Amino acid sequence: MKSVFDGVFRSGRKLFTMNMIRGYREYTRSTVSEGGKVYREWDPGKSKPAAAIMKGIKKFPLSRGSKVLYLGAASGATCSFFSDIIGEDGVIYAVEISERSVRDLNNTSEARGNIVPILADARKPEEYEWVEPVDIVFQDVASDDQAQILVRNAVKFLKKGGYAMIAIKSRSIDVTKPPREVYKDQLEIMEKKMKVLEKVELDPFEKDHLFVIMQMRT
Amino acid sequence: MKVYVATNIIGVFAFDDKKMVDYSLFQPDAVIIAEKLKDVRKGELIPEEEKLIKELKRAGYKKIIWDKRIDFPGMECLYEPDNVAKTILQKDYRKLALELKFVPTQTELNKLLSRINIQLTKSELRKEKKDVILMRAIGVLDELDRTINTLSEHMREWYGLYFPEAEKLIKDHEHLATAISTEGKRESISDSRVRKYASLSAGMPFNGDDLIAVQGYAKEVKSLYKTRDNISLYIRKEAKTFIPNLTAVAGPLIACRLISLAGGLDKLAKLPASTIQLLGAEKALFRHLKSNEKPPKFGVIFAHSLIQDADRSVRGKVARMLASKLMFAARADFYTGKNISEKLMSDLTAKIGTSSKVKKK
Repeated sequence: MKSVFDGVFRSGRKLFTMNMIRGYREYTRSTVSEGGKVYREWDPGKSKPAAAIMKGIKKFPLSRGSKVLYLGAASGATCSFFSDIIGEDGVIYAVEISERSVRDLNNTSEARGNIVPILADARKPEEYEWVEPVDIVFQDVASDDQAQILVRNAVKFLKKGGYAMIAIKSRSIDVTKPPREVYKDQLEIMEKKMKVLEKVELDPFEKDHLFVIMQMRT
Repeated sequence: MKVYVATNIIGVFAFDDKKMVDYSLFQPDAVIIAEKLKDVRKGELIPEEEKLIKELKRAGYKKIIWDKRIDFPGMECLYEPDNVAKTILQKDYRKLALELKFVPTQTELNKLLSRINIQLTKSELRKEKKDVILMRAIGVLDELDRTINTLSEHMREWYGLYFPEAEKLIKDHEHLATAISTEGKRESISDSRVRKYASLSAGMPFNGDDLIAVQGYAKEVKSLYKTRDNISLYIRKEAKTFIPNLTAVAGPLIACRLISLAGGLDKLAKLPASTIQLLGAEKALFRHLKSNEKPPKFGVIFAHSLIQDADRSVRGKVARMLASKLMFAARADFYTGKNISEKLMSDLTAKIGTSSKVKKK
C-alpha cells in the first residue's frame, strides 16, 4: 500500500482510503487488511475525486482535520471516503437537495460521525448560513449554473487561501456546445474569484467531465 | 445601550459590538437541540432566548438587535437578519463550543453537529408530501402496464399451445387470464364461441400438470390486473382532492405523470408552459437541439383527449394551448388551492373552438 496523498493510498491500479469506522463496508467493492489496518477500495468509476487522482492530479487538498463543504452529496458515497481521509477531527457539511438521497445520506452520516447532512438547495447558501468557514468546498451538483453555485458558496464559506474543487459536467450545462467551450465559459466565471491550480478531464471514468482544483484569491 | 443577539446550534449569545457580553448554552443533546432549532426556524421565542434577554435587561441594556420579528416587554427590539452576532457565531462556534466547555473535544462537536442535523433532516423527511406518494403510485402504475402486457403475451403463447383457438378469439388479455385460471380445460371454457372448437382444436394435448402450471400463472396475471385497477382508482381519487385543477384539465394520470417528470408539485408550479408542453419529450428535444431534427410538439400530454382528437395539422397548436392552461392549474393547486378548473376548461374549449383551423377529426 503506497501513500499517494494524505489519507489516500494506492495498490496496483486501485485506490484506497484507510477505514475509520470498524466494520464499515458500504460503497466499496473490496477491502484490504495490511499491517493491522483496513483499507476500503475507492472506485474511480463511481467517485469523481478518485477519478481525478487516477488521472494524475499533483495536489489533492483534503487532509486530516479538514473542514469540507460538500455540495451535491447524494447518498454520501464519496462523502464516506472524504470522511476516512479527514478523520474524526475533520468535518463534512454535506448539502443535498433531494429528499430521497438525504434518506441514504442520513444513514451514511449516522454510521460515520463526521458528516453533517443538510437538506437544502446549494443555490441558496442562505438556507445553511450557520455553517462555519471551511478549508475546502467541493461542488458536484450537475446543473447549468455549476460555476455560479460554487462561486457563491466559496465566497460565503471558504477561508482565505482555501481550496475549491468542482467536477464540471459539460452535458448538464449545454449539450449543444462542444465540452471544451463549456469548460472555458465555466472557468471564466470561476477565475474572477479564484485561481485555477489544476484541471483534468475525467475520461474514461466519466464522459465529458472536467475536474478543476482552485484556490481562493486572498 | 444596545446589544446584538443571535442563536445557533450551541446556544444563544449576546454581543456588544464585537465583545461577548452574555450567553446561554443549550444542553449538549442532539434531540433537544434539534427541537429548539426547529422552533427558532419557525420564528418562535425559545426559553434560552427569553432567559438571556431578561438578564440583559437586568444588566441595563435597552435595545436588542436580532434576526427575529418578536418584541419583548421593556426592550426595544430591532430586526436585522444579518447582524454582527450572527456573523461572529458563524465564524467562531467551534472555538466558543470548546472554550465554554460545551463539548470536550473537536471530535465530540463534530459528532453532535452530525446528530443534530440528522434529527433536523429526519423531521423534514417525516412531513407528509402527497405529491411524492402520487409520483410513486403513477410510476408503479405505468410500470405495471408495461409488465402486465409482457406477462400477458407470454401467457397467450403458453396457453395457445394447448388451445390456439381460444387464444385467437379472446382478444382481451384480462378475459383470457380469467378464462384460463378459472376454467382451463378446452371443454370447460364458458365462452360458447370458443368452446365449439374444443373437440377439433389444433392445439397439442396438455396433461393435468401442464394445465395446472399455466393456470397458476394465469391466476397471477389476473391478480396483477386487479392490483393495477386498484392503484388506478386510488390515484384518481387522491388526485381529485390533492390536485383538483390539474386533474380537471389533464386528467388524473397525465397530471401525476407531469408532477413526476417535474420532480414534485412545487417544481411543476414553477415551470413555464413551454416546458410543461414538452415534459416527457426530453429525448426528442435534445435530439432536436443537437442535430437538425424537427422539434417535438408534446411530451406526456400527447395522451390527452384534446390532442388525440385534434387534426394532425393543429396538434402542436392545441398542445400549446393546453400546456398554458396546465401551467395555471399547477400554480393554482400549489399556491392557492383554489379550484379554478371550470374557468380554465371553458377558456380552453372556447379557444380551441374559435381557432378556425382546429377541426375535429
